[in-house]
Amino acid sequence: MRISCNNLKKAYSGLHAVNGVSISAEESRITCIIGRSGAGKSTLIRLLSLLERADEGEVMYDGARVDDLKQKEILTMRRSMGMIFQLFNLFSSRNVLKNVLYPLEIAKVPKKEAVEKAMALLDTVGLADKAHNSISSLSGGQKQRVAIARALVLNPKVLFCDEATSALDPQSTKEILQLIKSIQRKLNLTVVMVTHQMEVVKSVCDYLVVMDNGRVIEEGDAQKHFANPESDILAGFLRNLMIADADMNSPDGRRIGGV
Amino acid sequence: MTNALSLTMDSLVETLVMVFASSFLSFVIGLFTAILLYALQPGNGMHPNAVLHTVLSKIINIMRSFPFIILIILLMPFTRKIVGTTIGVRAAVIPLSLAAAPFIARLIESAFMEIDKGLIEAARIMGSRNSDVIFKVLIPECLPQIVDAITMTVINLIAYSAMAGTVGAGGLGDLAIRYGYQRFRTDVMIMAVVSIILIVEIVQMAGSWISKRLRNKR
Repeated sequence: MRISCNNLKKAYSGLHAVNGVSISAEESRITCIIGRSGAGKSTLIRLLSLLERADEGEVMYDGARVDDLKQKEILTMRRSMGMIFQLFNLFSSRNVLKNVLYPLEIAKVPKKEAVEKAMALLDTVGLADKAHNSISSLSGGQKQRVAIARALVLNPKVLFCDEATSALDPQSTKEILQLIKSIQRKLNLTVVMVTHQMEVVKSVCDYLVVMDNGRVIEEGDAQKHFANPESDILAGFLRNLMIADADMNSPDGRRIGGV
Repeated sequence: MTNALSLTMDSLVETLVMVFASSFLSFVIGLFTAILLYALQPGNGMHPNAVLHTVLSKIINIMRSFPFIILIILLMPFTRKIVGTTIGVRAAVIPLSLAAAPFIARLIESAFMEIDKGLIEAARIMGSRNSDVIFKVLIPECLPQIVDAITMTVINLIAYSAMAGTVGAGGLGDLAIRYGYQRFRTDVMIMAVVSIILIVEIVQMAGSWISKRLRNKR
């Protein structure tokens, strides 16, 4: 499913969080929206996922306008989208399996079929053996895996990721990104990802959108823009990443290049 | 001299009936009101209505600030309409329930408000209807706090029920006043007070145990 928007605007108490954004996240591609905090990227993904309504502009799924749909039609539309969050947002009153069952329950899928489906997804994310564990017994990376299973259990066509790895340690971040990428390829998903972590963008991104001050300041094929950043912001992100890499690679952990 | 033990037993039963019935009713009314308050609250995408929310909220505040003894008297015409009389255990249940309902509504509402907004968003994005959000997310997530709220309400109602003697409902509080105080029966006084303390203690222990078990399972 192609997710696009046209001249989107959203203001909170007079402040323009998103100020005239038009982008297109093509089908079967990972689109990353990167920017510093306060750039408006979280607001943008909330507008695209219809969690909030824009003040102005349009949101389109496969070219058809969806932002003016009635609440009931949005409910149906939501069956075709999944979303994962920075803090996982799992239900602590339910165990792992029951969290993954939730979307199936509200979609009124028969119990037996639902359990089979949920278990299959837990298997995909490598947590089948933890199906009956409580959420609090899991690590951050495992929680995000459960969240991914839950987001994908209704076979959505698009997965929104809102800072999905920001609360994870580097190793878990890597694993979650690999998981998202492999699932994306396998299921032919459209992925829209918001992050401020350049290493995330670098490892999975197909199409890059750079935001600042509520506007898109740079966008295009990720590899091209990594090689030749147009904006200072992207150049800055890439420079920081190089410094971080150098830090990790230097044997005694000291910074290289006198920075 | 009337037997202190049998007097206490009769009053104990009256107190238990009053407290149990009014706890149940106030919980039903309070939970419904809390859901209504939550749904009307602007900003959570259900049925935001600032005016209705404020009105309902003010009504709750007013009900909560009434001294219970006055509430009993003010509610008399209403009580008569509902149960046909203003005297006795059944009549006492009406003001008791209406006194406790706003209290429990506030407690449950504040538990609802403490739920992370992210959980509600996650539920929404998965296609939850409002009823799914309320019954499959909010209430299950708040269950330990709801149990605590019920415990507190029951204990409050035990205290309130002592005043219900005014409408001839009997109960332990009434017994303590009529026999222990007015007829100088210290033995009855002690038994009544000890019984009240014991009920409160048992309710608190049971409530804490259930709520702790619910929390530990998470």
